[in-house]
Amino acid sequence: MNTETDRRPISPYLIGPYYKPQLTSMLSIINRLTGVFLTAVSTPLILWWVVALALGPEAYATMLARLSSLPGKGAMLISLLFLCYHFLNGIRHLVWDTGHFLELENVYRTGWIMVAATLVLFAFTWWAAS
Amino acid sequence: MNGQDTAGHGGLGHWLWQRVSSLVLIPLTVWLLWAITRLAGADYASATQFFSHPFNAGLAILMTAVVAFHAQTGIQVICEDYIAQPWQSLLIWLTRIACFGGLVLMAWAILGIAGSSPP
Repeated sequence: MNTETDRRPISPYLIGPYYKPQLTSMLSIINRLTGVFLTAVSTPLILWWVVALALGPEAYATMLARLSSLPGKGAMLISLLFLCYHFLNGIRHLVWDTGHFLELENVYRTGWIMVAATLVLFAFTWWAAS
Repeated sequence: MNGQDTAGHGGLGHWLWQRVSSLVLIPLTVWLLWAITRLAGADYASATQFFSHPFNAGLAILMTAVVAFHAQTGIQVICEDYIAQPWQSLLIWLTRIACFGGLVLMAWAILGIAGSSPP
């Protein structure tokens, strides 16, 4: 492995003493972090739940007991919050891809709107589910 | 160079398909949020009944397929940005295998539930 591609520099890290935290950069890195969490934790959690359901009533009852524990509830709460964030910020990215709302003022405005909408969508879904 | 594949590895294709999968995931995520409100804490009978409807079983498998693709491309971009070789390629391939395996497992489970409980 010593091709031209391998010698290219990698992207700078946003976290650390290199950049002052700003809404723009933080919302961007949170989009990646929520994406990684949804891939590594939330989707396997849903998969586990569906497989337990397929295995029968006893496996499903065990799964429900695990989910109603404090770590289980915590994983579901964070998963739902991150899903709402990644969903709404993803729509924001798709709007940018059409060339709209790219002015700095609008990037901040849609950023705050997205954060508020995430909290509302999360709270409503959690309430409707319980 | 004849104008093809100038980004090295079909970078435009990756970019485009990531957006296409995002677009498809918008209505599917609305369905997922609705499904969560119906299935949270549901007992065995009502949970299996939910997937005995072809509409729900079909969307569950379709969404898993699109999510598997979307997650794989997303993780690949992050690996390419932050992780040096040879770990980069290894992680990308492990992610591909995990996403494909997850999809197969999900389809098997959903079809099993849908097949064993009449609507």
